Amino acid sequence: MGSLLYNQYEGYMREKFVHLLSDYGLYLVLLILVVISALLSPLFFSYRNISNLLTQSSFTGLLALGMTFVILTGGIDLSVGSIVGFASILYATLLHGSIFTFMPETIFIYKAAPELTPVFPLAVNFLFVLFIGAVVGSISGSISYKIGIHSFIVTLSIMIFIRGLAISYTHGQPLFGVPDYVSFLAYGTLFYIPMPAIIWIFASAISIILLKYMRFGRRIYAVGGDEEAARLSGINPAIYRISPFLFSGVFASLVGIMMCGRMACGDPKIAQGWELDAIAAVVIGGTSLFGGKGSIGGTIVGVLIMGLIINIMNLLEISTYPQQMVKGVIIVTALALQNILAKRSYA
Amino acid sequence: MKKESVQLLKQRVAGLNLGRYLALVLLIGIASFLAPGFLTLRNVMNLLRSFSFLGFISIGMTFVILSAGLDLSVASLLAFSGVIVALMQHWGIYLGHIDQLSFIYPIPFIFITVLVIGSLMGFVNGLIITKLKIADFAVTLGMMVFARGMAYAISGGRTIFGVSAANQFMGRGMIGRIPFVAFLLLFSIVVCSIVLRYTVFGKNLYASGENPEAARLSGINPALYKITVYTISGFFAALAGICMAGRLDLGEPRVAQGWELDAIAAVVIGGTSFAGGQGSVVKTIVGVVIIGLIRNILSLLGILPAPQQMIMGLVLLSAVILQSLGSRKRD
Repeated sequence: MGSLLYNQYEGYMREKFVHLLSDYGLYLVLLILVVISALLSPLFFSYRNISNLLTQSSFTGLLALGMTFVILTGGIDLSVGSIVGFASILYATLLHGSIFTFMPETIFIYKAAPELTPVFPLAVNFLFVLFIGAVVGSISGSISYKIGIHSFIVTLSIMIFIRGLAISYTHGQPLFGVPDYVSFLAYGTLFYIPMPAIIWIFASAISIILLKYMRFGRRIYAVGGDEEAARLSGINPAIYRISPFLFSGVFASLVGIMMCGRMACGDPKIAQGWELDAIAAVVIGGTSLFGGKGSIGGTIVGVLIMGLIINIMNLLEISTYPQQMVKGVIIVTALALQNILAKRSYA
Repeated sequence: MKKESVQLLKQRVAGLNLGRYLALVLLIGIASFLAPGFLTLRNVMNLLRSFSFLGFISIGMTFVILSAGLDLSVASLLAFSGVIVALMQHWGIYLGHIDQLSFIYPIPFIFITVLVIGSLMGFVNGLIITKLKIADFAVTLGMMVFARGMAYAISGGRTIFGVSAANQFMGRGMIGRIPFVAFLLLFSIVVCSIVLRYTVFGKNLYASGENPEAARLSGINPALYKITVYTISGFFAALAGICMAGRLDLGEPRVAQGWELDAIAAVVIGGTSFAGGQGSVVKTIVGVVIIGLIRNILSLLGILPAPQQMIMGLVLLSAVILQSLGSRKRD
């Protein structure tokens, strides 16, 4: 009798532990990684390293925000890295309108004059690139939803298409020269906080409000959780399946513009493989690939964890190739842990 | 009565899916128009050889897609196998002997080891997918990054020059006027077709791909089949890697980037359904030839790699869309 009670108690404690682990495990991992980094290098807590870490995380972070929307509805967007490259070269082109006069001889594209000759008024250039990102995203979303093909194969095709387009039109050459306000987006600070981090925080806040406190967000969860049930209760799934890809495209083109500032040029070859970092961050953050479960908060922690892991590997002077291997292992491990914890806590 | 028979005929013709053969003839027509020497025996043999490498991984991919899965790691496994097969013939590289060959053990064992390693990595894919119940593309995406990283890591990102004569024969040897790889591919096609069509394994594979639940209820273990197809895919990726190392006479971690897409496109163009349970290896080979011809024609036209990439993206997308629309009509 006593042992039965004890067993029940033990079972209860174990269940509680699993619950705690699946709720707060992420923060624990983050904390452990911070401690490890701090132990590895006394410079970790310096202003410079932290702001650097934040800046680097912001780019992945913005992509991961869009990716969270997509994955919440059960899709996946592999095209974000390519859209970053494409947006970056497109934005640079728009800033150097004069190269259009040399178009027949493509060589002039990358010998563009340093003086800026914007095609549209300044803010319009910016918005135009975001608009193109939105168009590309909604094309992937529409094809995948309307024709009923899984989004990873659609976005895979779009990924190679967009990258090919970006590279072929400048022959892979970067386009130099960006105005100061674009560099400010990448290098500037506001109250000692780096600008990319501010943009990331701002975008995260909007995403959280959208997902948590608005009808739109609740419907995204509903459609992602069970599309048929959502449809039967009067929600039009098309909007909620396509718009996440639009968000993802917009965030990716925003990152493209910011990368323009960071590299001081538009470069069609940047951000290769960043879609993996974004997916890894989202998955680490506990968003389920089946859709309907997850949060922006988790994704932010996931991005920070990824950033810290990369930072630690850099501190340990591990070269980029093994770092890639580690990334592959991280994605699969995070997914496995997610499944195991989900099974435990609902069993 | 007459109407019915016309309809039946229509259905039969639609069932044959003549579109892809039409595309094939069209592409051959375009190619021979663009390049006068296209249909010479020598060029055809050359093409046959260049198609074979993609052919191997597409055969593996067919098995995987038949089981309603997807293997994104094949190209990375190919590169990884190519690097280890070269490394095992350059064991002295760690002692600074860069130029001379030094085998870790006799060459047949090297081949076997590499094939086993490839199969093992495929097996791991299958094991993770079935036991931990993670989506196929996510696991193989992880393996893709991992294996490519391994290929870079063990070679230090450098090219390993020179492989033995036996290995070269795998990639560029000729039997009469026919390339050895083409023979190897033909052999693989025949074996795989027989396995798929006439064995219990094949029948069960189709069944478990089409409807895993129904298959499970009739006593088939779908997990077992899933693990097996990924192992097969890994095996063929390793085989392609060995032949590729022989063809290039080097081990190189950068080869075959993006080939997983070509393989998927080939399988889809060949008419194997993404939903699983429908398709065949022979059809896939038609897809491989179509993809190869498109690439060949683009090169003949002098189109640079980046625009080629763009066009291949569109080809893949339209193949997938057409297939999806086609299967919807049939339903």
